[in-house]
Order: sequence, then C-alpha cells, then structure tokens
Amino acid sequence: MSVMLKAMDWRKGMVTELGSTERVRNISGKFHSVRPSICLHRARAYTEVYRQTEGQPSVLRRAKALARTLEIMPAIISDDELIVGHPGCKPRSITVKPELHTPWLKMDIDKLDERDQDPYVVSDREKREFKEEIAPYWAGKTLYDKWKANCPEDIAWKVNGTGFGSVSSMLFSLGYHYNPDYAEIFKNGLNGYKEQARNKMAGLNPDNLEDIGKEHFYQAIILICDAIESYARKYATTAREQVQSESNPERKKELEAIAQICDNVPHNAPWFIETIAYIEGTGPVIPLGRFDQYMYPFYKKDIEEGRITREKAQELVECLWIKMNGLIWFHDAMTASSSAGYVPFNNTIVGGVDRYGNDATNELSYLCIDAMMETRTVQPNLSVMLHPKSPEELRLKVADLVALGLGHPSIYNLRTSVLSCMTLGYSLSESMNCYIKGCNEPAATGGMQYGFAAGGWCNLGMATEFVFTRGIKTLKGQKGSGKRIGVDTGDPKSLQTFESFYEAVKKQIEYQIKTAHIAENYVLQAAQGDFALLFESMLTKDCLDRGKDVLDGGARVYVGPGIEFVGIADVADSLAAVKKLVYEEKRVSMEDLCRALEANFEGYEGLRQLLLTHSPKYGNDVDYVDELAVEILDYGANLVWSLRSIYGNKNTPVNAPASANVPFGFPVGALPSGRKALEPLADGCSPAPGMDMCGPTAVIKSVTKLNHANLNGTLFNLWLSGISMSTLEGKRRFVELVRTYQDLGGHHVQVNTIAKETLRDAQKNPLKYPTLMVRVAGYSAYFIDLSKPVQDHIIARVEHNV
Amino acid sequence: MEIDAHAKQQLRGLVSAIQRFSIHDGPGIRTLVFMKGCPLQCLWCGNPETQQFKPQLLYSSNRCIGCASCLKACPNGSIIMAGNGKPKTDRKLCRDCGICTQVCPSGARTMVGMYMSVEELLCEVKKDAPFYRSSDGGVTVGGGEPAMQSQTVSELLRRCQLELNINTAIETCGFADYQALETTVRFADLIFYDIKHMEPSRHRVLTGVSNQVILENIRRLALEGNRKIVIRTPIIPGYNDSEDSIRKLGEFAAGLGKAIARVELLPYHNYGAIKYIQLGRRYRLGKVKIPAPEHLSRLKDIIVATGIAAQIG
Repeated sequence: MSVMLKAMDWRKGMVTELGSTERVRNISGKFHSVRPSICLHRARAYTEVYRQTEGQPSVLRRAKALARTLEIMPAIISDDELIVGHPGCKPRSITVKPELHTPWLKMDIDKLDERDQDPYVVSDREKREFKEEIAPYWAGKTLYDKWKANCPEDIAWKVNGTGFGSVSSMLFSLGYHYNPDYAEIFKNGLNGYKEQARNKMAGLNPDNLEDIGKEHFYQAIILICDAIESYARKYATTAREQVQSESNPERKKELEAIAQICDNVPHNAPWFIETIAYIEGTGPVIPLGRFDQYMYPFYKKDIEEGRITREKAQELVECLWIKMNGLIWFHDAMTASSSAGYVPFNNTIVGGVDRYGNDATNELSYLCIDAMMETRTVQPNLSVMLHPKSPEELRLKVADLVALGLGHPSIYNLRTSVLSCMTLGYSLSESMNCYIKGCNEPAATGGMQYGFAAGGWCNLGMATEFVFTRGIKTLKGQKGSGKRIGVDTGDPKSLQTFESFYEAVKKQIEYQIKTAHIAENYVLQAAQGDFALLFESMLTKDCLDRGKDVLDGGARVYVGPGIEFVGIADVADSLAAVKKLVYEEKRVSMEDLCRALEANFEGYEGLRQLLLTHSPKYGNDVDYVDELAVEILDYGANLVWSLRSIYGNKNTPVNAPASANVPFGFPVGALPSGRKALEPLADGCSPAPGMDMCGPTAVIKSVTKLNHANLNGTLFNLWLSGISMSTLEGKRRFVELVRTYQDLGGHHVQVNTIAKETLRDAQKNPLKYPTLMVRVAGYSAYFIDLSKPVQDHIIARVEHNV
Repeated sequence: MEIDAHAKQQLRGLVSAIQRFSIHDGPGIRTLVFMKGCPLQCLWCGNPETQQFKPQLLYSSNRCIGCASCLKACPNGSIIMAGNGKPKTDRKLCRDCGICTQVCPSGARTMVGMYMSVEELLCEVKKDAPFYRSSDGGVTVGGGEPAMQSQTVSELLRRCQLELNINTAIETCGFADYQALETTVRFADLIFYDIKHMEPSRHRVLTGVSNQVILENIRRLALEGNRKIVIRTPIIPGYNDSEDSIRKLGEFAAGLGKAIARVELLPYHNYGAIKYIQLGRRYRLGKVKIPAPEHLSRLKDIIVATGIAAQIG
C-alpha cells in the first residue's frame, strides 16, 4: 500500500487548522479533511451537447457545451468562506475532460483511487457512468486519437511512455500557463470582451474570404459570456438563500456582500476567472501573476477610505490562498509522477520593478508573504522577483519564509527573466513587466501568449545511455524494451577519441529533440479545429481582433511547445568520467565500461567506485566537468531554438522538470557517472544527489556557469544546512548567498532546509506530519502526498547535506 | 624576518583542507584554509588530521568495498586482510607514502596534507570571492597552527589583504616564537586567539605544553594594539569549565585592554571522533558530554561580569 493511501486515512480523522483568524483556521481545517475527487458534470454536459449538435460549427458546439456545464454546475458556498467559486461539483474536485482524458482514464478509472501518485476518490456510480455513457461516445474523437491517426507511426510509439522525447502530457491537455490581463478585466469586466466581440462581428465583411466563419467564433464568445454571467448569478442566488437560513447576523452580512459581488462579476469585474478557466481547460495553469501590483491600487484605496484593515485584507488573501490550493491539474499516472502532488503551478509573484524601472515592492507584497506564512499552503506557488533595487527588508522577509521550511518562495532573478522574455521575442519594456508562468518560465504579463512550456522532453540520461546501447532500450519489462528508440551511433568501442564519443552523445540528443519536436507539431495540428479554447482565447491578446481561437493562430505570441531538459548533471558527469578515465588516463577500457553498464555494475563495484570518486562531478566548481554541462546544454537549447512550431514561432528550450527527474530516471539504464539503472536523474540544473562535496558556494558557482537566460526557465534546488535561519546573522548569510547567485547569473533558486530526521519520521509516520511541505522541484508539495521514490530522493539529498 | 621576492615565489604550505562556505570563523561567508602541523596535542582536538606536519593516510572503512587493491600495492607490506573482509593497516609499518590511495577505487584511502604554493592557495581562495564581497566575508587561515608556516601564511594573507581586497582572519593557538607569530598575523584583519586554560600545569596536561608562551604572546599582541583579537576557549566539560578558571580567563582578557573584542566560548563537540579512527588513533574523550546550554550561559555571564564581551559559539 502506498504512503499516499495512509496519508489519505489520516486526513479523514485529523484536522489541521492554519491561518491568522478563526475563520481561516476553520476553512483550512475543512480543506485538509477532504480528499481530492473527480467531478463528471463537465464530461456529462459535453457528451450531451455533442450528441445533440452533430454537424454544427465546432466553435459553437464547444461554446454550448461549456455553457451547459456551467448551467448544471452547482454553486458551492461553504461555511465561513469569503472567496467563493470552485471548478467542480464538490470541494477539491476536478472536472474530467472527456475529449482529452478518455484514452487513459477509461483504462485507469477503476484504480484511480489507489494509484501511487495523486489518487482521486471515484464512486462506483461515477466509474460506471464514465465507462458506459461517456467514454464510448468519445472513442476516436479525442485529441489523442486524432494525433495517433496523423503522427507517423515510427515516431508515435517512441514518444509516449518510453521515457524518450515524451510528449505524453501534451496529448491529454491543451496548452497551459496563461495569465489573463487582470488590469484590463478590472476596467471593463467580461462585458468589455463581449462588446468587442459584438462590434467585431458587426464589422465582418461577407465578401472577404478571411472573414468567413468568424461570426461563429464571435457568437461562441458572446454565448459563453452570457453563460458565465448566469453561473455567477447562481452564486448570488445561493448566497441569498443562505442569508435566509443563517442566524448569525455577522455571517448574514457577509453572505449579502457575496451576493452583491456575484451580481457584478465577472461581467463587470474579474474573478470566477480561474474557476471558468479550470472548467474549460485541461488543468490548466492560471498564474495570478503580479498580484501585488494589479491589486495594490484597490488595497490602497480601501485602506485610505477606511473600508478595510490590513488584518482583514490579509484574511482575504489567506482565504484566496486556500481557495487556490483547491485547484488541481488532472493527470494520467505518468504525468502525475512528473508533477507530483496535485499541483497546478499557479505562480503568484511579488516584487519586481514598475514601468519606470523602480522597485515595485509594496505593502501587499509583504502581506502576500505573511498570508503564506499563516496558511502554509502548497498553492499558489509564491514567488519573489528580486533585482538590485529590491529592498533589504524584502530579502530578509524572504529568509523568514524560507526558514519555515515550506519550500516557499521561489526566488527569481529579474535580469535573467527579462533576458529570457526578450529571447521569446518580447520588447524590453514588455519583458520588464514579466511574471513567472508555472514552475520557472518567464513571460510577459497580460494575456500576451499561448503555448506549452514542456510539450516534449529531452531525457539526457537516456541519450547518454543510448551511445552504449546503440539506441536500444535495454531495461527489461518496460514500454519499448529491446527496441531501437534512439539512433544507432555505432559500436562504442570503435569510438577512438573523446571527441567522437562526444559527437555520438550529441547525435543521440539531436535525434531525441527532433523526434519530440515532430511529435509535438502533430499534436498542435490535431488540436486545431475541434478543441477551441474560447474562454482562454477571449482573454488572450489578438484572438478577438483576428476572430481566431488560440489554437488556430489567434494569439499575438506563441511559445513552445517546449523541449524540457532533464538530467543535465547526469550527462555532464558521464561525459567527464568517460573523458578522464577512458580516454585521458586510460584507467578504464571502453570494453569494461560497456560490460559494467550492461550489468548495471553488478560484479563491477570497483569500476563504479572509480567512476564515482576519481572523476570530477558537476556541482563542485570544477571547470573540467562544469564546462561540459554548459556545452551540452547550449548545444541542446540552441538546437531547440532552431526548430519551428506550426505557428511559426521558435520552439523553446526549458529546464523546469518539476519532479520528472524521478520518472525519467526509471527507464534509463546505468550511466558512466556511476548512477545505477532506474535511479532518479538529477533534478533541474542541480548537481546529482550527493555529488556536491564542496558546499553551497561551489554548487552555486557550478550552476551559474550555465547560460540560464538561453532557456525559458531553469530550476535549481539549493539544499542548505548549517545556517541557522532563526538568527539575523544566519538570515544575512542566506540573503548574500542568494544575492551572489543572482549576480553570477542564476535564474531561479528554491531552498530546502528541513532536517532529514523530520523527513524520515514523516515517511514512517505520515499522520504526524499532515502539513509538512517540501520543495519538490519548482514547486512545493505536502511531503506525505509524494510517492515513496520521490520521498526517498528528497531524503537522499538532505542526508548528504547534514 | 623579511624574505626576498624570489623566496616568496618559492613558498609552499602544507595544507590539510580548504573548506568553502565556512560560517563560524569570522564575518560573512568565508573560505577556511587548514594548515597542517600543530605544536599542541589537545585531548579534544576536533581536527586530529592537522596535528602532524606531514601528509598522512586516512582510511574510511565505511567507504571501503574490500577489493584488496591496496594490499597488492603497498610497498611496505603494512596492509593485511582482516576478518571482516576489509583491509587493516599496520600504522607502525605504514610510511604514509600514499601509493595505496592511488589504486583505491572508492576513495576509502585518501591522503590528508598537500603542499601548495601561495599561487595555488590564492586560486582556491579566489573561487568564492563573489560571495565575500556581498557578505563581508573573506579568508580565514586556521589549522593546525598557521604560525608553524608563518612565511607562507603571511604571504597568502598579504596578497589577499593588499592585492585582492579580501578580508583576512587567523586562528592561532598562540604557541610560537613571537616573531613567527607576529609575521603570521601581520596581514590579518582579525585574530582568533585560543586560550584553553589559565593554569600552566593544567594546560600542559590538556595540550602537552605550558601556556606561558601563549599568554605572553597575546599580551604583546594586545599591547601593539593595532589588531582586533577575539579570544576563543573551547568548553570541555570536566576539563576546563570550572567557574573559577573561566573567571580567571575573563579577568585576564579584560586586563589586556581594548584590543580584545570579545571572548567566545566554543562548546565541545565530538564531530572529530571519526577522524581519529580514520587515522588509526584512539579518541580519548569518548565519554565527555556536550555542555548544557544553561552551563554555557552561566559561564558567559561570569566572563561578562569581569568586564569583557562574551558570546557562545
């Protein structure tokens, strides 16, 4: 039985109440007592509408299906709640998207509540309904089915489930990471967009070929705007009903206020935005973006006019954090283990600069951090954007939050973020106003772009292994075992020089990237036409102007689909070991190395030790190996930049692999770095676990040799021990460590400070640690929600550093 | 004693380790250079591998995979296979030649102690320069006893302080010819000066030498008055932690004048015990307990009462 299930059991009985007020503690307690579940309302509505509308224009069918979903979706207002709305029929539920999820869910639904990573509650009735009434209708109509039918067969089988070039997550979702222009929605609400759609529709010219069919798009937009308004009204009605039955006069007032607000949003002002986005899309990620910036004018006005106190405002933000914590990204088992912990990566970033280049930190920035210190929720991903003008006060506040050991916040460097945005094609001024999309990817604020961050993967560990196996997956009992997935780079024993070996590694990387890239473009092609994301398109710049959906070329900027690099340290350490021990010192023969790797080092422990201890490892500030890491990442990233998506944009290299270093290590055999088969790869651009022997400054020196801004995000886990974050002296040293990391060109850093004893005990006694949070990679998760291999990986890293 | 430029270029030091991100040996983020060789043999020494002024063999049985490569390689026949399937080194026969460490695949056998030129030392020290700048950190030379290699240390610190604008600190036990000591600390911005006990006879029992030279040297350094000195005293329960001897320490420190910035009481720890085993030695303080926080804070109060600042750790 998995740790997760045990973890689930305690949640039934045990209540964890966190928050600065009794209200927040009550909401928090309730949140932690509920297990995540699935909701079939959307699947039911889409199936019903699609059955009835065969032959109608696709965008209208999508609009009607969304409208029907909102019509049948209940309004949930729980006791004590101030922030309402949820994208499912019950708290902590996530809607099933049949046009995307069916291919895997029809096989997995029976065991969904017992799977290792991210299980969900599903009733027998729901299982039956999905299998008998929903899934059969979608056979052959899903995104996956369309992709499968189009993508060349010799590519399709390789990139789904073998650990090579994987595009699996892209097959079951439709783009993610979008940040609506909140400031714009504040001005006009959804009515502004609706009005624009009406005007555009009236101006269509039937003589213009370009305009043919666009009226359907605009009709669809108007239709969903109306449906969303009705959905909000349902909340107003529910609130008023509750007023009738409520006896507490204070709560009555609150409910009346909720009713009034729901009368007004989102057609006149934002909110419900995230709820609708989650119902329409496939996760997805709706980062709150620069929350402390667009909310500050309202906060300031309310404070000045005496409508709110700082304490009351913080309570509201705490309610929002818990609300965000209830959003879930629904994944198949493989993707769930790559993005472990139900998290949807809703990044919320504070700090940064204003449009004049001045520091933008304000009272709300600190309030957001204070709220997180109270609620200790895994979501939103709370991030801080630092730059040379960031106040010391903010840096020390970051240290306070880090000291809690939650893994929050992610700390970003404005300089690398701006450079990264400009590489995507944004202007300097757009780039200065950047936020972080999900894990680590910088983007310009305000509904500017559509795209994936990590549509496909480049498994650098596997690319290295394939030089020795001539492209054949040798691990037994897995998908693709015994088959040639990579390219045949010839007999490794015939590689006479290190340069020829190095070339072979690059060839494997090139083949993997190009294969994944082709597969990605076939997914984008499959998504066109039948899967319009109307709500997302409405909030994405230029879609309304062009009368086109985001999937159909409406967005101003396209990013990705992205190639995600995993295993940077593994390939660098392997290259260094081969270079030094095989080619330079000739202490190890290529024959012996091949045999040892094939045997997974069984019977070759001496050789493995030699590889581990007698060649330099990435993470120790040794140029010999660090330069190989720089070269190989530059090579891969530049290759990705040279490829074009079907929208014409450059594909985007990323290194923000979340917890995917664990599942992507599973299909990889033994490596010359000394890593054994099946073991996790190194996370992000961090050193391999236990291989950094010279302390955090040396790790930082190694990591910052990489060209961070040449990728759309990099991920660095810094494991700190020995610093006492409770003293001012310790905090200052931490602040300087981070400052120097950024000075040297590091993009993202997250810090883990938890003691290994705590983690060990939590693994054994999950009941004792319901809210123990760790930084997994790019985000935080409750430790006990992680599968055992991920937990083990984290413990191994901590142990090394104590 | 001054030496010429050519001699300075030839200077080499015997170093046991260079530890980056040291945060307990001076302000900010520092690199700590451990010099090898010490005139004292403190019972509690936490870095026993720095005591002898020569490279030495360390053996870690946890890392050993029992491959027996070392047996064949040893030119002195000092290694035999023990009953537990792991090799055992006869330290009387071993000449610390290091040949076994070159064949050991797992790093179980390593040599501690490397001769490095000032240039090579600077190269290591400079690696963390970006961290020193923002944290007011720098380099600290400890050991071992830096004054045993005064010319090398002096040149290293001179170049750090005058050429590289890197903050410098020294950790010394004070047991040295005054001129050597003065040369060692000449380019140090901060001196950590150990006083382990105030009674000469007791000091001899605990460290192997009398404290007369040590106390005399600190008086002279303090009189010169141009350097900031921090007195450090390890607190070893049952050995040097009586209230009386700590009071005497405080009175002595207070009497040295304003050159003494403070007294630091360093609580005993046994992190070094494993290294005795790796050196083939016996650790004699196995039964000593970590001092209790209340005891430490009482001792600190005693020092403060004598009129000088004090801190724990």
